[in-house]
Order: sequence, then C-alpha cells, then structure tokens
Amino acid sequence: MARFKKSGKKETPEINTGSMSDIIFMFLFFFMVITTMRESEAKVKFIPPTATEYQKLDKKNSYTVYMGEPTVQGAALLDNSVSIQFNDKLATSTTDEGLKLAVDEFVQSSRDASLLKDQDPDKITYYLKIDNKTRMTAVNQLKLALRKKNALKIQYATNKDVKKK
Amino acid sequence: MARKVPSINTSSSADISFLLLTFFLLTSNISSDQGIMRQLPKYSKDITQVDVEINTRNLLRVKVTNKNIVMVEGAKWTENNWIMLSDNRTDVNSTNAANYGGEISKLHEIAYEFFANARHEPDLPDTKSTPISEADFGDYPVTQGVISLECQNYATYETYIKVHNELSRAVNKLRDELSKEKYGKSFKVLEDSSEESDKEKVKAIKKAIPMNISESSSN
Repeated sequence: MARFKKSGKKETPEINTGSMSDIIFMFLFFFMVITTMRESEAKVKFIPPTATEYQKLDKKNSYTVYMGEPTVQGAALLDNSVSIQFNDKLATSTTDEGLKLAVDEFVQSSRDASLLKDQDPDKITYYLKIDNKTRMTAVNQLKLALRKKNALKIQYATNKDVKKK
Repeated sequence: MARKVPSINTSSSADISFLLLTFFLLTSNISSDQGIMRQLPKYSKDITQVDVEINTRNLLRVKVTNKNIVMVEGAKWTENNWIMLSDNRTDVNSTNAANYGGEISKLHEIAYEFFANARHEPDLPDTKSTPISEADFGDYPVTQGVISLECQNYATYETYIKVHNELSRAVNKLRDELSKEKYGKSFKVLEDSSEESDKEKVKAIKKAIPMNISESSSN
C-alpha cells in the first residue's frame, strides 16, 4: 500500500526578483518614448472645444497662448473674467496698450527661441488654447494683437470629437 | 583556488527604477496637441474699409449671433431670408422649429455645395480656369466663392470653432475627392507623407481648392 508521507519541512520557494528591475526599466522607456515634457503649466482653466477636422501640431516650432478663467490670484481679467497666459506668464494688463506690449514681448521671445532651435521664425505656429466658454470679444482682441505683430499662422486647440465621424 | 566573486545585491535597483518611472510620469504629459489651422490676414493700418466687389453669387455669408445661432445667407440660400442653424436641440425641436434649418452640422453640406458647384448653377460661385504649376497639375477651374464669417461679440468660442470645423470639413471633403480622382490617394495620406513629390501634390490641391474665409467681428 502506498503511503503518503508528510514531509517535515515545507518551504515556499523564494521568488526571483532579479528581472523585476528590467521589467520596470522597460516601462520607464515606454513612458519616456510616448510622452513629452511639460513645457508650461496652464494657470487658467480651459476646456477646449471639440472638432473633427483637426491637424497635428508641429511641436518643434510652436508657442502657446492660453485663454480662460485664471486659477491663480492677481491675473488681469478681460471681458467675461477670462485672462490670457503667454507661455508661462499671465498677462498683467488688459488695456489695448498693455495687451499689445505683452503680445509684442511674447512674439519677440518666441522668434528668438525659434532661432535658437534652428527653426524658421516666420513659420512659427501660435497655438491658441482657448476655453470654449470664452466670448468672441476676447478672442478677437487677441487675434488682432497677433495680426499687428505679423504673427499670422495660428492653430486653435481642439479635442477629438468622439461622437461624430 | 579560484576565489568566488560575491554577487551584488540588486534588489534595490527595482526601487530605483520605480522612482525614475514615477518622476517621468509626473513631469510629462501624454496628450497629443492638435487643432484647426488658420492663416490670419495681414494687418494694415490704412485700409480700414476695403470695398471689394464680390458678385453676390460668389459670396456666402455666415453669421454667428450673440445667442450662438448660426445664420447663413447666399444667392442660392434665399436672399434676405437667413437660414438659421442652432446648436441647441431645444431650439431646433421647439414650436418655432420652422425657423430653424437644422443643427450646425448642416453647415458643411451648404459650404460643400457652395464651393463645389458641381452642376454649374448660376446662383452658386463662378469658376475661373487657373494654371497650377505644382506637380504638373495643369489648369483647374478654381472656385471664386468666398465665405464671409461674421461673429458677434457675445458669441462663444465653442460655436465659432464648430463653424470653422464645418467649413474645414467641406473643404477637406472636396480636396479628398480631387486627390482620389487625380492621384488615387486620399488627401490625408498625401499630407502625412514625407515625400517631396507628395508635398508638391498637396500644394497643388490646396491651390485648386482654396479655403476662402474672410472674417469680421461686430457688436
């Protein structure tokens, strides 16, 4: 008759963790490849409108203007309590003159930065991230200021429209 | 006797890479940036009022009102009697529904018909045969139609982008059709291609089917 012997000591074998770091490194590289560094932090709240006919932004030669309700104190307010943020800086004045100065500075610094990166400063895309509740007065004010500085190539930020198409 | 090399304890390298991983997760963003491209017109101080004679058949007026209602008027679309399009379903389905021509998404059909003028109707834009040098394209009857987009001050940006999206949709559809007919490829494929010859083709198609939008604002 067969007998089942209970062995005296029973130990769970140790799990080999040597490959764990390799797996995590792979994760790391995966994330490094698919993501981009955050360049500027939005200091305004904005939900972009949705669209189906969007084009991809050329990130190498583009500079961002945000427009929406500010999340920090001390921002100058345009019509309907929106404010404008150029790259990293919130606009501090909303008079036509103040806005003009801010746009001048923004366009100039964008052109300088573009030159440094060996890009054509005349082909800069100005990427407008505007909240969808913004009124057209404010948008038109910004567009006019950009036009006066000969910054003509713009792209309106949109989200993908999931419902349509 | 050969000495044994003691193995290095690697259990902490997993922790280190975890830290790196979290660092990259926090400082980066996945969202791909995209949007609708537009070229603004040059600013000139002297010419505040430009009176360009445009034949009525060549003009389609699109107006976004303060209440975010889109109104369309053109030679074919009953002069002095705007077609109203609304984004608001309750507007479209309400008792005065007869006033509304539908939702904003209908605008691309109107713009498409306007730019295409496939049957050469007299109340749709004229075409003018224009030589296009890029990619040996030859002559093409380029539409003379212009869409004038007027935005009232209290219209919201959301509606404005919707209108732009619909206009782009009409033009993209036309470009796509021309591209398929001429080169057997969709316009998107040509645009995404990095080949020099394809870039020329894109330029040619863009010239053949221009996006003529003129914008203005009002109170």
